Amino acid sequence: MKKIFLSTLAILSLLFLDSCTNLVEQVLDESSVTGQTDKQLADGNIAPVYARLVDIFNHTNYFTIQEISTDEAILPYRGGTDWGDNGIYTAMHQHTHTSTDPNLRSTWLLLTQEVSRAVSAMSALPTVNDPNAKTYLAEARGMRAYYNMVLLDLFGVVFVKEDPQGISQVLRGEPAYEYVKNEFLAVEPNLLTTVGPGRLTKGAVWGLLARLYLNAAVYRDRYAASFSFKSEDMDKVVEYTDKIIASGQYQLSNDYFSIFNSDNHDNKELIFAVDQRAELNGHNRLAYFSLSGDQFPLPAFPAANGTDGPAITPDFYRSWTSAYAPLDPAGTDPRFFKQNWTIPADSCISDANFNFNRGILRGQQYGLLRVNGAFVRCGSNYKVGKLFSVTRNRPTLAVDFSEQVDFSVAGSNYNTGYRVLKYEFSKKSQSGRNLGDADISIVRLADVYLMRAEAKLRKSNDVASALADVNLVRASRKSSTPAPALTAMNLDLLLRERGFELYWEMVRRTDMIRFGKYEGSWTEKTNTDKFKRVFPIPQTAIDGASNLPGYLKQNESY
Amino acid sequence: MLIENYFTFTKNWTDHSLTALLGHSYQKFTLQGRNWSINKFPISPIEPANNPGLGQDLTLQNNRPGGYAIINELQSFFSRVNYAYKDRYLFTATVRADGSSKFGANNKYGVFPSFSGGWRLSEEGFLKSGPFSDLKLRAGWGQTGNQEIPSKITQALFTSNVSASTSYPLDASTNYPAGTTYTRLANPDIQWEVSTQTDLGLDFGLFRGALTGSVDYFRKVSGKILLEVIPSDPIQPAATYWTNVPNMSITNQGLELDLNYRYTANSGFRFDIGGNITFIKNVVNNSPYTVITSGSASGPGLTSATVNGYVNGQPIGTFFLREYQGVDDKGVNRFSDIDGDGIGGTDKDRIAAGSALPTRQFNLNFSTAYKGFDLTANFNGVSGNKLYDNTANAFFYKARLVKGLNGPVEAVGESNESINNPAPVSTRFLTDGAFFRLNNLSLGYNLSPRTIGMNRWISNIRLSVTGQNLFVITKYKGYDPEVNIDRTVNGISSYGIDYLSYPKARSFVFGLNLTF
Repeated sequence: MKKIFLSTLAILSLLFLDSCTNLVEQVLDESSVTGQTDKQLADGNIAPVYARLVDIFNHTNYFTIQEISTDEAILPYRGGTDWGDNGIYTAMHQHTHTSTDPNLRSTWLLLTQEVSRAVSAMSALPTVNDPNAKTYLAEARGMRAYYNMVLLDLFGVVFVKEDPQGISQVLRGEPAYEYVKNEFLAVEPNLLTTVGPGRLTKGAVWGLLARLYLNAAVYRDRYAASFSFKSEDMDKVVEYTDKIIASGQYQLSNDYFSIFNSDNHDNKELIFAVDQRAELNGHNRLAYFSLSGDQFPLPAFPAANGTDGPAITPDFYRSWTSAYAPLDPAGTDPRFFKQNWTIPADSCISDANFNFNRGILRGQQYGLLRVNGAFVRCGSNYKVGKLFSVTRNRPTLAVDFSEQVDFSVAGSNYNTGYRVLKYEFSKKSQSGRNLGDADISIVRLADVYLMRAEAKLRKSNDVASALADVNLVRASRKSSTPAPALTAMNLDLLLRERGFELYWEMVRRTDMIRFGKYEGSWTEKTNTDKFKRVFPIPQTAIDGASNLPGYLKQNESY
Repeated sequence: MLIENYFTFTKNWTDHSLTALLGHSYQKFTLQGRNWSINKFPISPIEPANNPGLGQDLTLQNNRPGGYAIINELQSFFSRVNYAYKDRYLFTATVRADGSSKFGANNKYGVFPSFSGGWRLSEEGFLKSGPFSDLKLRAGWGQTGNQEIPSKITQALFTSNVSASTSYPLDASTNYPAGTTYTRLANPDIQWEVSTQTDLGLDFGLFRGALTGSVDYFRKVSGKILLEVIPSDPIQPAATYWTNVPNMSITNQGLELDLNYRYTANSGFRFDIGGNITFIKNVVNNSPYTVITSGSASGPGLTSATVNGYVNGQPIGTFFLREYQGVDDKGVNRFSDIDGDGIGGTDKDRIAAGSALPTRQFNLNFSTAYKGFDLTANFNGVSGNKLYDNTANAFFYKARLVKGLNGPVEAVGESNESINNPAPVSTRFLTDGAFFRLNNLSLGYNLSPRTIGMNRWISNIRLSVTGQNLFVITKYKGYDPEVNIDRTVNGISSYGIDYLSYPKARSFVFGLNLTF
């Protein structure tokens, strides 16, 4: 009996030999990178630190958060088909957004991911033997500060993380502000000046520091009834804006809209920008977002249209008309509108002559006529005419932008509200959504002058210097008649001027908070809750951190 | 691929029997998939799938081919001993060591013992003359492991490629650098989820088997729960990771009753009636999280909202929602202020509003036959559960109706609701999920071919009519309460969320069966 047992065991173990495994997991469809050169390692570590900027500066992310929440932009539920999204765009405008807002969440995820990538790059770069590694290390650290600065501005928190394996320290208020400032100051000496606006340079950090000092009072005491701007902070704003201006590296653009053209990478007004390349990462969302679904800016692409997204509010429009009455702002201020084409007598236009008008678009719109998915031709030219909402199955509704736009049924129609085409509609964009080429401005020289003007006003009510800076910017747009010089200056006029110069450039929310106007009322907005100055941390992040009690607290009122 | 090697030893004595088994098994799962695509098919009578080459547009951007190949291996060593005494006392013990390639080097194997015993009381002398034709008591205790996680969790992945989300121009060159990024964090310590189950059962038969039934009690406690969670520190290369949630346990216990009665009269009339009911109590304990989301809403603007998940002291599938209180004087949603901070509807105002898991499930069946006729019916139902009507949440609210889109009458349920009132995820769209359904009703008649003189060619004729899903009694307003559209968040299954489901068909089948 025992013998049989043993011999069977022996046979059994032979069988085992055949099939026994050590259960080491085999990976067949992916592999982690190895064997890179030092240059590949260096470039490969810094590129991801910038890579998500294009997504952050997207229409539904930073644009929605910084503009639709303000008096510059409004996005109604268009015609029952577009931009309903269960009320997230109306909530953003009315300051009734919640912690489950998907746009807030996606912006949060992108910003936190980039902080993490910067931390990873900072741990890898010191051991990389490449001549650029030291600069890249400074850029990674500087970008970590920049993303944290945006997190501070939007969500009221910064994450201090050095060790990729460790756990971040969460800071708010004064310590958060101090952290961002000290990080910028620490990296400034190691940055370059010659790599263009697409990377973090000395000039970019000076501009961001000026912006940070200007908003310091807000970041220190977010819910204050009125902010106390410290003299020493304002001095720092002047110091850093002076540095930029004195560097001679940057220059105000003669033509206002060329700052936003597809080829703007070399425009000397840009100090810090998102470097978009159609072939790599560019989107055309900032151009497409506001245009009508029946506006087709590109003869080459009959699918490239707009989407009837946001319009400017009537309030923002009236800030222009009241400034220039009885004159029309178009023709008075080159920043308001630029005519790029006229309808020829025979209503036929060549591809080369058809360039969309820029700026604020009002009233009946004209353009390429599209029938059954193709443009109507006259020989080699294109037929142009009055546009109707054909793609909306409303062929009798003219694409006639009205001043009034609101959340009523009539006010939410496809044609309501004056629209904005500030960035050039990329000529490469087959779908109208993709393949953008324009760099997206983060800091530019006009903003720097306006920041200096503001600091001088805030510090000592230095009206003369402020007026000089504002009028210098106005006078610089020399390719057409520049806007007339202002003769008076105060904080309200300065905010208005920032609106004229920087509208739809994703600084408005920050500006309105700093000027104490964010709790004001404008079209469809009456909410006066000061806690809305900070957005909610996404509920998913709060739930995810709930295993560490007290670690990541939700902002007040959410 | 499955290889099993085992060795059995059996020995019978007069009153004792013993079986012992020793074995090894090895399983290898290979999963792979590839996908290709092409766009812009001309309008033609040819089915594109029959000739994909007809497509006119193919770019790497729109049509990048995809693929995956995964190998998962399982290896187990197991042993079992069965012992019976006089067929009256039965005993089984097993021990198995299961290993999976999905787990970390230090945790590949889990050891899972189990014991069970049975006592056939009806074989005992003192019961042999009683009313019981069968009476058996069962008891068992055992552990099992769960390895249902994706592959490669123990291994980090960092890739280097030129893509919009990883690369960025560093200079004027159009030769863009390949960005190196983590796509997955490694959890080298991930291990088996372990469930410990205790069962107690009684089978009985009375009146010579006319009445049979069973009572079962079960209690299963699972620990080292495998879930995909969001990191506490938001500064992470990846937005989620798989882990054994520390300390958390899930207890599932209940009672199952099963009763069947059979009657046959000498006249040939017979009927069977039977039913079972299960009472279930499920609870999550010691979870370190407020909620681990298992189901998320779908639809425009709703995608970041938790619908249900794992909440302490509540069953799995608990709906964790803001509590809807109608609309305020401006016609805008009002939500309960649970934490008392003066603001309703904040993160802290979410409540456990019931679970997708029923507390009772039942089944009833009935059949009768007399002469050539037979009739069967089957009912089933559940109660104690809730359902989230995500379809109504996403598409049936006033703001849409006002813009000329169709919706059911509930969309205007609140007459003073603002036309711009959004419909965020809340208890507004949570409904009772209980139902009682007549699943199947069937009436048949067997006609003797002899009576119509056709018995030379036909041996049997059967006429029948069957109705399926004849009625459902429910308060649920969607198409069907028996629904579970998977709205999985991360890798965690969702429960009880209805989103764009199809209704269950009600069908009638008339049958004529001829047997030749």
